[in-house]
Amino acid sequence: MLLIHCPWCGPRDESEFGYGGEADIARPPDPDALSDAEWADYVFMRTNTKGRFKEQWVHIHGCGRWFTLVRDTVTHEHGEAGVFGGVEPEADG
Amino acid sequence: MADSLAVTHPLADPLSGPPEQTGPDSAAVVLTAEPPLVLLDLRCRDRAALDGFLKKPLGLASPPVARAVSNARGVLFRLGPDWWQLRCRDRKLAARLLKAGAAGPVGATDISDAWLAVGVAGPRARDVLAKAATVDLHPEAFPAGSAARTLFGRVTVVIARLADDEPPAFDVTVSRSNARFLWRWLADAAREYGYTLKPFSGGGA
Amino acid sequence: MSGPQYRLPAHALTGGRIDRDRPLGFSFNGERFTGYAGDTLASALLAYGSFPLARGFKYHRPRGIFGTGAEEPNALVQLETGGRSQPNLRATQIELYGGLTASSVNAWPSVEFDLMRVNDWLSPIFPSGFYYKTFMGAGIGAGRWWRLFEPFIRRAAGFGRAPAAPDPDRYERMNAHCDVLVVGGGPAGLSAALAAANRGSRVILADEQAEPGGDLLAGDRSIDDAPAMDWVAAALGKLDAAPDVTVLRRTAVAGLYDDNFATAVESVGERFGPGAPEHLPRLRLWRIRARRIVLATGAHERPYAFANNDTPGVMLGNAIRHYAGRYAVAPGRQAVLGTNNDSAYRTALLLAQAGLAVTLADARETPPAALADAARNAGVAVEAGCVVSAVVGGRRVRGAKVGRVLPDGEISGAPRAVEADLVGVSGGWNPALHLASHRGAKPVWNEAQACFAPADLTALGVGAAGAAAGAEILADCLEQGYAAGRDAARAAGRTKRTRKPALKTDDGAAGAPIRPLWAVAERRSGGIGGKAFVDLQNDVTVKDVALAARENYRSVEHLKRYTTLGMGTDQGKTANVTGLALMGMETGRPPDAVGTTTFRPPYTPVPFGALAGRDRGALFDPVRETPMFDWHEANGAVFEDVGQWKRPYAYRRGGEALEAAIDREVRAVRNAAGVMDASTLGKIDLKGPDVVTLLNRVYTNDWETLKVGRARYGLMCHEDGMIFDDGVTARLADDHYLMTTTTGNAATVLGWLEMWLQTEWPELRVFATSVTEAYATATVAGPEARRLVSGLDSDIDWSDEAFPHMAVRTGTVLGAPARVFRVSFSGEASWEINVPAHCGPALWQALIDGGATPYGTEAMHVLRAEKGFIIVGQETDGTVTPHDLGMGWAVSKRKDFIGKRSYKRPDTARPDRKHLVGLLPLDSSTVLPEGGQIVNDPAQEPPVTMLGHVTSSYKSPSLDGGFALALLKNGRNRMGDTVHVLRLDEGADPARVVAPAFYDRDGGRMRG
Repeated sequence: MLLIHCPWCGPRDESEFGYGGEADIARPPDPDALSDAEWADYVFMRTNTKGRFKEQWVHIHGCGRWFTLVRDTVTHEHGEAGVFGGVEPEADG
Repeated sequence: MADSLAVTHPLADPLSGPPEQTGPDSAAVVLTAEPPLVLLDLRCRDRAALDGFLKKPLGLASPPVARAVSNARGVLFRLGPDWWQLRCRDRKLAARLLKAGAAGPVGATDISDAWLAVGVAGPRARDVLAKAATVDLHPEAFPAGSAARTLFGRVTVVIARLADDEPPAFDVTVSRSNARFLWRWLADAAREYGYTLKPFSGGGA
Repeated sequence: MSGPQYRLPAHALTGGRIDRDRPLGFSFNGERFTGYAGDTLASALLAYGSFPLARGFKYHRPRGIFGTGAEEPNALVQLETGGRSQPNLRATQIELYGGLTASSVNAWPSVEFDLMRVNDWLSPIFPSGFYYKTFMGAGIGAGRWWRLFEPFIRRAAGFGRAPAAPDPDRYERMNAHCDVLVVGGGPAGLSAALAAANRGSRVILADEQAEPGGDLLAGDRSIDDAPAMDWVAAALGKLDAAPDVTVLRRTAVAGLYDDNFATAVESVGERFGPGAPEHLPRLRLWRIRARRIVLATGAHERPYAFANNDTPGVMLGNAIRHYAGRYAVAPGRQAVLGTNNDSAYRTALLLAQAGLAVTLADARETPPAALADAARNAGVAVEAGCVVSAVVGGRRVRGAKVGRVLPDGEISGAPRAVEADLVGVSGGWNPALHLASHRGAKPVWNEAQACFAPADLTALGVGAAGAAAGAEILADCLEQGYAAGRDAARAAGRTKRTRKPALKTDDGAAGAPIRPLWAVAERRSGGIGGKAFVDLQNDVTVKDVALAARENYRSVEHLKRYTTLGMGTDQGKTANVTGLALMGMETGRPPDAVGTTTFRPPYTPVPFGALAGRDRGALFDPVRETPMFDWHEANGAVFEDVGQWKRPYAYRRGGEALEAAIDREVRAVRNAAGVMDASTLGKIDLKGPDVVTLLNRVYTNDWETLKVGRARYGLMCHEDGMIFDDGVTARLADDHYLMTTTTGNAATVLGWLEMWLQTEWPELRVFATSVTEAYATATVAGPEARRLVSGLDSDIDWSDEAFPHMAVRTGTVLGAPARVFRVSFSGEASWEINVPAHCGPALWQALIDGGATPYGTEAMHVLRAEKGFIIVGQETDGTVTPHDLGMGWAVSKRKDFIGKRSYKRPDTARPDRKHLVGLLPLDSSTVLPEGGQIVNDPAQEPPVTMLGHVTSSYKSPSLDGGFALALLKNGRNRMGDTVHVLRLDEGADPARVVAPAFYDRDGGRMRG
C-alpha cells in the first residue's frame, strides 16, 4: 500500500487514488492526419518500463485532481508529484 | 422550503436498526444525525476570485485544501484547489450565491439534498473513525479546522474537525444514499466502546 | 495422563510469570488438564510431560512440543469447536483460559494410534518427490492415478479442518499512524520504544506475546543488579503512561509493505475463549503507517539435526529455559543439552537449579572457561567437543547418544548412551528477518555468527536492533535498541535531545564464537539409525536434502519445491537456514551461494476473520438507497443490486409470482400509467461557456444546435471507438447543461470528463458537478401519464405543444422546485420528474395516489427492449461501436470526437462486424437464453462457427411471446434468415432474424 503525496492534500493511502497509466500520452491534435499505425500507437501502445516510470494518478476520493508521479516499477519508490495546468497556484495552499 | 411536499430524512427517528444505546460506556461515542443541509458546491480556478465572490455575503476567505473555516453564516470546506463546499446556515444566503454563481468565474450548484452530516463525538470518536479512515486523526495531524475528503471503508466522505474540543467532535459528510449504511456501520463499530445514537427528530430545513 | 508432575515447585528463578493462585481447567483431545493463568496451552501440557500431541505431516511419527513461540513446527492444534474453531494454531502461542478445548491436527484416527504411521515404515518408497513422480509423472495413465488417490492423500496429509459453521465472533480493523513502529517488546524493542518516546515521538510498540519482555521473560537475567523483569515493568510503566505511545500486547506484525505500511493482528477477546465479553472483538487487524520502523524481532534458535530428533522430548534449548523460567515447567528429570554456542549454558544452569540432572554436550573443543566452570560448579556435566548424535525412544525420549564430533562433522567412534528424558538442542540463532524480507531485502550471510543478518534498510526507513540484528548479549540489545529508537525518532522529525540511560547487565565474561554445525547423523551411509529431520513440520530429512542435491535441485527455490522445505505454516522458521547450509555442504558452497529464502507475509498465519473484519453480513458492502427506498420496501419490492444501489426489480402484490408482477407492470405502462424510481441515474451538472465544446468532443453526435429547454441523446466512446456510456443531456440555460449517465457509470463518466478537462483540455471553461443524489427522480410513463401529471399541483404546462418530446422544463411540482425531462425509455409518452431528494417520497406518494402503477427495472428492460433501445453493458461489452448498433445516425461526420478516428481502422470499418438485430424464436413460447451463442447449424462438426450472442431476451406481454436482441455477425444483411441459439445446457432454438424494434416502430406513442 503506497503512501502517495497528493500535491494538494498531502500524504494519503493509495486506496484513495485512481491509476491513469503512462503520463505524457498527448491526444493528437489532428487524428485524421495519422496513419492507422500511428493512431493505434496512441490508442493502444504503452511502454512497459522496468525502473523509473512517469505515470498519472487521480485523487478520486480526495481533491479530485490529476497529477503525475515518477515511480520505480521495481522498488515502488516514488518521488514528488507534478501538477497539470488549469488551476492557479497559490502561496499558502 | 416546499409547502406541500414533506421533507424526509433517512436518519430520522424512529430508525429501525441498531439499539439507541449499548456497550460498556454509552457516552464513549455519540452519533448525531444533523438536520438537512443547505449546501452549495463551488468551483473556481482562481482562489482570489472565489474569495471576492464570498467576501461580502459570507465574510470568509478560503482556507487551504483539506481545511475548513466557519462563522455564524456558514462553514466553508476546501475540498480541492478548485473545489469548495459551503454549508449555509440559511437558505437566503444560498439562493443569493446560486444566483450570483450562475455565470462568471465561480460555478455554484445546489447540492443540499445530496449530502447529510453525521456527528461523531466522544472520547472514543477517533477510534471509531480510525476503523475505516486512513487519514491520520491525531490532534497533531488533524487539528481543529481540518476537513479531509477521503475514503471511509468504501464510502467517500468528508471528515472534518471544526472545533478543537477534547474529547473530539467530528463532522462526517456522507452522500444521502449511503447515509443509513454509514450510520449502521458507525453504530456497529462503536459497539465495543459503547454509544448513544441521536437520530434526526423533527423540523425540516 | 498422570497429573502435572513436571511443574516445578515455586522457586525464586522459575515460574515467575504464572499465577499459581489461578488454576485453569482445560481439555485436550478429550482429556481434562489443569494449568495456571499465565500459561500457554503448550506450557500447561508440558507440565504433564512430553507426550505426543501431534503427528508428522508425511510419516505420521509422534511429535511433541518443540519451541515456545512462533517458531513452533509441531504443536499445531485445532482450537475450540463449531463456528469458533480455528485450525493449525500453535499451542505455544495460545494463552490458556478456563474451559479451553483443543485437539490435535493431522492424526487419523487419533494422535495415539495413527494409521498413517505406515508411511514411516514404508518410507523407503516415499522419498522426496514421490507423489509427483508416481502420480503426476509421464507414466501410463498418471493423471488418472492422481485423481484416484488425491482425496486419500489430501486427507492423510492435511492439517486442521476449516470450520463449516459461520463464525459467531466479531473481528475489528484499525488504522493507525505513528512516527516510530517498534516490532518486538524484548530488551531491544523496549529500549527503542523508550528512546523514541523520550523524544516526543508517536510510538507504537507491537509485541506478539501475552506480555512484553522477550528473552527476559525467562526470569534469569538481571539489569542494574535487579531482576530484569523489574526493568521491563518500569519501561512498560513509562510507555503505557506516555500519551502518544501505544503498546500493543498480543500483537504479531504480520507483514511489512511499501512506504512503511505494516499489518498486525492483535488478539483481543481470544484469550478469554468463547466466554469473552460480548463487546470485544476476537482479533483486531491493525493497519499501521509508520514514518520509521525498528525491527526488534529477536532471533529464532535453530536445532542441528541428529537421528530421531523429532521424538517428543527433543526441544530447542532456549525453549526449555523459557518453560522452566517463565512457566515453572521442566518436562524431564534428566536433560541432555547439545549446543555449539554459548546460549545453552543459561539453560543448563537453570535446569540444574531446578534439580534436573544435566549433561551439556558442547560441540566446541574449547568451551569458554567462565561458562563451563560456572556450569560444572552447578553440577552440570559439560562434555567438550561432543554432540547429541541420536535419541532413543519413539513416543518419547528414553535416552540419548552423545559422541565426539570430528572437524568434518562426523562422529568419532561409537557414541555413548546417556540416560535422558529431555533433550535440548541449540544449533545457533537465526535473526528473525522475515519483516525485512517482506520489503524485498536479501539477507546477508554473516560467516562469524553463521547466520543470515538483515540487509541495511536505512534508506527505506527501517532499522534493526538486538538479536534481530545479530546481537548476542543483553548489553548490545539494550544499546542497539536505544540507538535505533533514537535514530528513528530523529529521522521522523523529533529532534528533542535525550540522555542515554546507563544500564548494567549480567552478560559476564566474553564468550566464544559459534562452531557451525548443521547435522550429525545420517550423512554416513547406514548411519546411526533413524531419520534426522531438518524441517519438522514438513517432514524433510537430511537425506531428502542430499537427494535433492543428487538430483540436481540445487538452488534454494528448487530445493524448496522438491523437498517442501519451509513450505509449512511455520515457513521453516527453524528449518530454512539449516536446509540451505546442508545443501551448501552437499554441493561445496557457502549457504548464501545456495540462496536465501524470501519470506513473504504473513509472518505467522492470519485468520480470514481478521482480514474480513466487520465486512460481512449487512455491512459486507456499502448499500445505496434512493429517497423512495422505504416505500419500495413496504410495498413488495424485490430488489436488485445495481452497483451498490438497491433498485426495485419488480413489486409483488399479494402472493403474486415474480413473472406475473413483471407482466402486470409492463401492461400498466403500455395501457395506463406506470411510475419508476429513476433516482439512481447519474446526473452531472455542467456549467461554463465551453460546455458545448466539451460535449462535442466526448459525445459522438453534434451539440451546437441544442437549444435551451431541449434535450438530446448521446453516445460516449473511448478512443478505440467502442461505446462506454449513453444518456440524455439537456440544456437548462445558455451555459448550463445537465448530463445524465447510466446508473452504473455515473462516477466513471464524471471521472472521464474531469480527466479530459484536467489533463488534456485545461483551457476549456467547464465545471462538472455530480448532482445525482441531489434529486429524486420519478419517471411517469404510459398513455395515461399526461392525465396523471396534469393532475399534480404544478405551474408546468404538460401539453404536447408546450412540452414536446425531448424537451426539459423547470417549475414547481407540489410546491417543490422541479426539473422535468420529457424523454422516453419505455416507448410511451414519459416524463422524468426531478425534485429535491428529501421531497422524493412525497412526490412518489402523490403519483401513486394519482393512480400510477409502480414498475421496476425488469419491466423497464422489457419495455425498452421491445423498442430496441440498448442498455450499455448489456447490448455493449466494450467491443461494440455505434455503427454496430445501427446508431450511425448518432455519429457526426462533421467534427472530431473521442474515438472517431478509430472508425477508419480496418477492423472497425469492415461491413460484416457483429450487428445489433432482433431475434424472434420460431416457437413464440420460447425465451432464448441471454448469453446464448448463435450458430447457423447446431449439427456442425466442432469447432462450431460462432456468429454472436443473445444480449437481451424477455417474454413480451405486448407481443405475447419471447423476443430477443442479439449481436450477430453481418446481422443487418441477414434479415429474415433463420439462425439457431444454443441453449445453456444442450440443444438449440431456431429463431428468425428481424430488425431490432418490435413495438411502435415509428415512435408515435412516445411523441403523443
